[in-house]
This record gives sequence, C-alpha cells and structure tokens, in this order.
Amino acid sequence: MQRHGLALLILLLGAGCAAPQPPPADVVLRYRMPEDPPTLDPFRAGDDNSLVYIYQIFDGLVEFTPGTLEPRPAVAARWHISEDRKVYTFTLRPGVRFHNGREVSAEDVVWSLRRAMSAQAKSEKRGFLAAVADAQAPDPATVVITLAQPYDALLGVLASEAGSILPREVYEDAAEGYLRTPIGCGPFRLASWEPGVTLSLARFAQHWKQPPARGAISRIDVRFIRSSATALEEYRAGGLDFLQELPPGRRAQVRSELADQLHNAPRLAILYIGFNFEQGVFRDNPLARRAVLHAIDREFIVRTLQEGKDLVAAGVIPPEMLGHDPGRTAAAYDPDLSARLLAQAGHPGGKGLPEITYLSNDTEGFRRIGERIEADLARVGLRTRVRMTDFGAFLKTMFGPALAAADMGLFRMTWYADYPDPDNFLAGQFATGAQGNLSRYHNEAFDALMTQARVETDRARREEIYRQGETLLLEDAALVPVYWYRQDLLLRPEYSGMALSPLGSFGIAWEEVARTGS
Amino acid sequence: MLLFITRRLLWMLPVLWAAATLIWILMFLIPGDPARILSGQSADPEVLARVRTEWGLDQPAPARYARYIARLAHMDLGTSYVQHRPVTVILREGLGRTFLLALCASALGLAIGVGLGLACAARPGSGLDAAARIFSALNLATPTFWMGMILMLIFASWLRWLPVSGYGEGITLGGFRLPGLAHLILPAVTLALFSSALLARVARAALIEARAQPYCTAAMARGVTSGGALSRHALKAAGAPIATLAGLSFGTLLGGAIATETVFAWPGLGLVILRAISVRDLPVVEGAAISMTAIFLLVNLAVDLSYGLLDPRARGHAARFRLSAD
Repeated sequence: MQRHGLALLILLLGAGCAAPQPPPADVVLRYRMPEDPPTLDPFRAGDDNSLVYIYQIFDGLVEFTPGTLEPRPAVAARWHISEDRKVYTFTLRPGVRFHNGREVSAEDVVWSLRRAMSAQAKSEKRGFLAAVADAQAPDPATVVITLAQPYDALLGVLASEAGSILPREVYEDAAEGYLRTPIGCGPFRLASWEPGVTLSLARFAQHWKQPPARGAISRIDVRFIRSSATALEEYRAGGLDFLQELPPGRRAQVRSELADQLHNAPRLAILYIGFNFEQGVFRDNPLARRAVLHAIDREFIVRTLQEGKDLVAAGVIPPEMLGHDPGRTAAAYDPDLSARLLAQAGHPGGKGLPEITYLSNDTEGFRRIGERIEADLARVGLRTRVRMTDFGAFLKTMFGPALAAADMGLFRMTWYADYPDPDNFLAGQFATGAQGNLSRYHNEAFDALMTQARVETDRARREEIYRQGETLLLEDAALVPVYWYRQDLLLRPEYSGMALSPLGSFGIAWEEVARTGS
Repeated sequence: MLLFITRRLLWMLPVLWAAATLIWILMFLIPGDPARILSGQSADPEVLARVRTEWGLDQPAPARYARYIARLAHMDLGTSYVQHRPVTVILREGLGRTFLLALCASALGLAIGVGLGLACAARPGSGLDAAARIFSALNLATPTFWMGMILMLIFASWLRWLPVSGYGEGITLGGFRLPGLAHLILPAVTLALFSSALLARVARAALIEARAQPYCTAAMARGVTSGGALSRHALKAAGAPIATLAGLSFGTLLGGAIATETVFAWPGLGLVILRAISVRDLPVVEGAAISMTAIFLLVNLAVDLSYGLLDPRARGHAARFRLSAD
C-alpha cells in the first residue's frame, strides 16, 4: 500500500513538473500621444510626435546610454577613431536583422547615411551630417566614415534619428509606402495603426539586445488623446501606464496624489525671448536689449506659471550638456536697472519707442507667459502688443526670407536639442546662416568661436570655447534666456528599469524596462 | 415631389462650386507654408523647393485653382499632404465616427427635448415647467467642453461606471469598426444635453401655440384628454419647427463637435479638421469643408421633405408650388 502511495505521489509530482507552463502574459505599455505622427520617416521627423516611434523602430550604429546620453554600441559592436579624428571605422555586430528578416549589412548603413544627406529624399537631417565627406563599406561588416574636418559630435548625431539604418529595398519605393509601414532594425516594429485612434508597436523578437529576464514589454499601445486633462484622468482611472505631459494647473495635485509615480528630470531644451535683428529698436541697441533682459521676472514665470517644474536659465547651454557652466548666475530681475538702461539707450521711460510686437504661437502656457512679459515690460515703459498665432503662421514668419518684413520685435522660441552637443544647441541657434538662427543674429566673433569649437578635438578645450561663446551671447544680450525645460513624467510603480533621457521621453529605452510588479 | 427633389439637387451644384471656390481662396490666403510643415523646421531651402514642386505648391494660383476644380469635378478630393492617403478615405473614417456620435446625440437630444417640451406644455407655469426651463437655460449657458469634463469626472473618474475617453472596441461592419457602446455614452449625452435644451424651449412654445388652436379644443370637447390632444394633434402641427431645429442641429454635429471630440478623444471629423488646419493639410481642409457643405444641403433637403410627412397641409402647399412652377 505504501509502495502504491509513493508511486502515486511520484506520478503526480512528475505530472505536475511535466505539465506545460502557461505562456507569460503579454506586458503591454499603454501610452498617450496627442495626435498621429506627422511622419515615420526618421530623416523627415523633428518633433516628439514622430520621434517617440522612430526611436523604437530604428537603430543606428550607436545609441545613447539612457540617462547620460553617452554614445554606446548598438548595431556597431565597436569603433575606432583615427588619430586626426577624421576617420571613424565601425565594426558591425553580427546577426542584426531588419523587421522584414533581412540581415543588416554595411551597405545598408552607407546607403542610409547617403539618404540622410540627400535633398532628393527630402531629408531635414542634411545639416546634422554636413561634416561627413564620405562613407564606404569595404566589407559587409565594416563602415568607414570620413570627415572633412574633425567633428567630435558625430557619434551623438549617429545616435540620433539622423543615424537610423534603413533597408534600401523598402526605402527606394517611389510610392513612399514606408511612410505607413516603416521597417527598421530597432527593438520594436510597427504592428498596427488606426489613424486618429491608436498605434501599436510590437517587440521585435530578433532584436540584438537581450530583453529583461522577466516582465519585458511586449507591446506599446499608443492612444491619441489630444487633451492633456483627459489624458491625466485616463491615467488616474488606470487606462494608461505612462504619461509624459501634465495639464496646466494640475502639478500640485499630481505631486500630492501620485508622488511615487511622478518623475521630474532635466531636458535639453530652452525657452527664450529672441530679438528681431533685422529691423526695429533692438537691432543695434544692446542697452535696450539688456533693459528687456532685466525687466522680465523669470522667477515668477517658472515658480508660478510653470508651477516650479522648470529651471530658470542662467545661460543658453542647459545642464547635462557639454559646455554648461554651473557657476553662471541668471541675470537679475531688476526693473530699476532696466529703466536706467533704457534711459542710457536714449529712451527714458520708453519715450520715443513705438509699440513692440511680441510674437508667439498660441498655447495656453505661452499665452500666459506672453501676458506676464507684456506686464513686466510695461512696468519699465515698454509698450508691448502680444500677438499669438497658430503654429503654421508662426513658422512662416520666423522662417520667412525676411524678418525685416515681419511685424515683430520680440518673439518666444523653444529650442529642443536634436542631439546632445552645443554645436547643435549654441551654434545651431545663433551662428550666422544657421537654420535655427531665427533672430538673424550676426556676430563675427561668435561665429569664429563656433567654427573653432566645431573642429576642436580636446574635450576640455572644446567646452571652454563653447562657454566663451555663451558668455559673448549673454554680454551682447543676444537673447533673454527664460527657462530650461524639465520634464514631468508619470509611470506606474510596477514598472522598473526606466532611465529618463534628457533628450525627452521619446528617448526612453523601453526595451530595457520591465513590469516587475502587479 | 421628384421634380422638387431634382431641382434641389441641381441647385446644389452651383452652391457647392461657390463654397469650393471660397474655401480654396481662404486656404490660399491663410498664412503658413505647407512645404515648411511637411519638410520639418530644419529643412533647408533645397528640400523645401523639392517638396513644393512635388505637391504643386510652386504653381501660380490660377493653375492650382484649375487643377483643384478639375479634381473636384471627378469627385477626387486629392491626397493628404501629411498622411499620404486619399482625402476621401480620411474623411470617410472621421465622418463615420462623427455620424454615429451625432445620430445618438441627436436622437437622445430629440427624445429629451420633445419629452420636456411636452411635459412643460401640458402644465405651463407649474413647478415642472419652471424646473425644465432652468435646466434648459443652464445647459445652453454651459460650454460643451466644460459639461463634458464634469460628466467625465463624475461618471468615469469618480464612479468608474464608464470609460474616460476613446473609441473603444466594437464589432466591425462592412470594414467599419463600430465604437464600444460604453465609450459612446458620455460624449453623446454631453452633446444631447445642449441640443435638448434648445429643442425643449422650441417644442414647448410650439406645442403651447398649437394646443391653443380650435382643432385641439374641438378634440378635447369630443373626449380626447388634454395629454392626448397635445401628443396626437398639437405635436404634429408643432413638428415643423422641431424638425427644422433637430435637422440643423444634426447637420451641425456632422461637421464635427470639436470640443466634445477633444475632451473624450473621439476620433471624429472635428479632430481631423482641427489637425488638418493646424498643419496646413490643405487637401483635407478643402475636402472636409466641401463635404460638410454638401451634407448640410442634403440635411436641409431632408428636413424640407419631412414637413410633408409631419404636416399634410405642407403637401398641399408643395402641390400648389409644383403646379405653378409647371
């Protein structure tokens, strides 16, 4: 009897061991974006609405280390930089595949780079890769990029969307079907897209990166919810797992209710007030510009209007970026000094000055900032008219051929880093002829510094040059830095492994995040 | 009747042409460069030039207008600059979802509005009448988006009876995915409250006037109850203004209830148009405006035809009109 009982027990235990384990439940990250992506072509994408998908669908030779943004191996397993820093030789990782199953080769990398530099492909990344003179694939596993001049920001550019690797046979389609069905070699692939409703990314099972052992995200479901207030209610009701934007006026409530889920992190972006350097009162009048600088209460804007989320900008280069000077202090809010400067500029109490138009695109937050600035400037005698336009009209004015024709003396601008380097952030916005130089600022000494810094190979020296350039801008009052952005993000506590990216929430490496709780 | 319908349909053509021309002129004049939006802020002049050539944005205005009208004549609304899909497909998707929402909201609004109107007309000056008029006034004065947020907070966020937002997962019929029923409730009620307020006021006034007519008095003298006289006799006579308002309201909703669609993330025509305007997706804006014009004209035609069904006297008028037109 005992023998039968023992046999029965062993049988039952064996059956239990041999019974197939139920498949692990799908881990679906529920995300929100305000609207459909305007494009899924990495070389035509410039805003968060597109980049949030592009950073998941596409990989490049290198990628940003989450949190620090240091370039680290991705499709390239390693690289070598020549002594003159003009030749970069990348060795590809074996077995990397595109979402259509084909293996990635060096030819794909070279073709992609050439496409990123092509006007025919309508690439807006040509300027990022201006330093690249040539790219070759001497064998299927080796890519050689040759620069005309040393450019130490190259790895940062290659880690951005400009370095995305594409399969040629898909992206040569004249009908541009790839805009609806993109193919990359990133950790996620496009699974479905119902315009206006949802977009889903599914984990690419053959991705080269090892997923977390347990609870790896298998799918990212994005819902398009235009209203940030609705999105917050959806998150609070349990309908979303991640939220990257809080509606105005709700920060204090979220901090008290969801403190364990709220993350605040720096972002490489600045909001500043620019001057029209082609015409008007500020063009040749640095004293008047400095009067504006000291008239604006930036502490109030950050503390009250931005609910303490952001950081008053002491300079241009934000924290977390090469060249940031932590010892620099913000220009003081000093209406008395501002009034004296105006008087020295020949306009005591604003006498003799016409009404100045302040231009911005229209959002609730920007409107409030505009109204505050209008009041601050009025206090020192500067009559200002706030003109809010929609984004399309704003772009047309700012990128138009002649700012002189624009009815605008001041404008509000937000600049987001395309890649984490002051060449993009400083030179990209204020060097003569730069695409981002919307105020048409021109300063030969500054230009010379930017040219010098661009080719400098010693990191410390490079940093010093950029700081000098920043000092020059600030002393010349080329702009009024208002605040450096920080980002408020909500993530359910059952997720772990998320490292915030200073580039923005689109830079989060979701393939490394796992749901470890319930 | 057939001649009447044919005449109305033919009249639609010049109206649509005029609307199409006006829309095109407005979109041509509106500031904003579609090429810049299509290419990205960092795009250089060479890329911008290519995009303009590709989309014909570098052509002179008369040539662009001629191409636009020629396309419309072939019922081709063009291709979206941003989505790279036919505009007809985009509008069909948005319109389908908005149609469902508008239909439910209109039906609900009609039921509530006419019901309230009947109740008030039955007891004018009573406490119910006063309460109903206050209800109407409050709903008319309350912005739709605010009402939507309040209903969302109460029924979705606090009570968790209904979903917060979205379209949900319904069955697919003929390639068109229906919404989840629970997702339809809050946006439909939000819209219905506003339209019912207007309908209640109009219905009440029209019913009181109709009930005061001799035929209602005669009916009651023959033993019909007051309520019966109201619902069986006065309601038909009061049907014309109610139908007009209901039809106009439905037609307006078909154009997309932008505020409600935004609050509830309902992917309807309103959001499609809003997005298209902000990114200067001209083909979508033009196509949507023409479509809405056509829909409004058709809804008006349907309302006019409904008069004959509601009020036999109107058929007589129509007959006299036909005879005189011949």
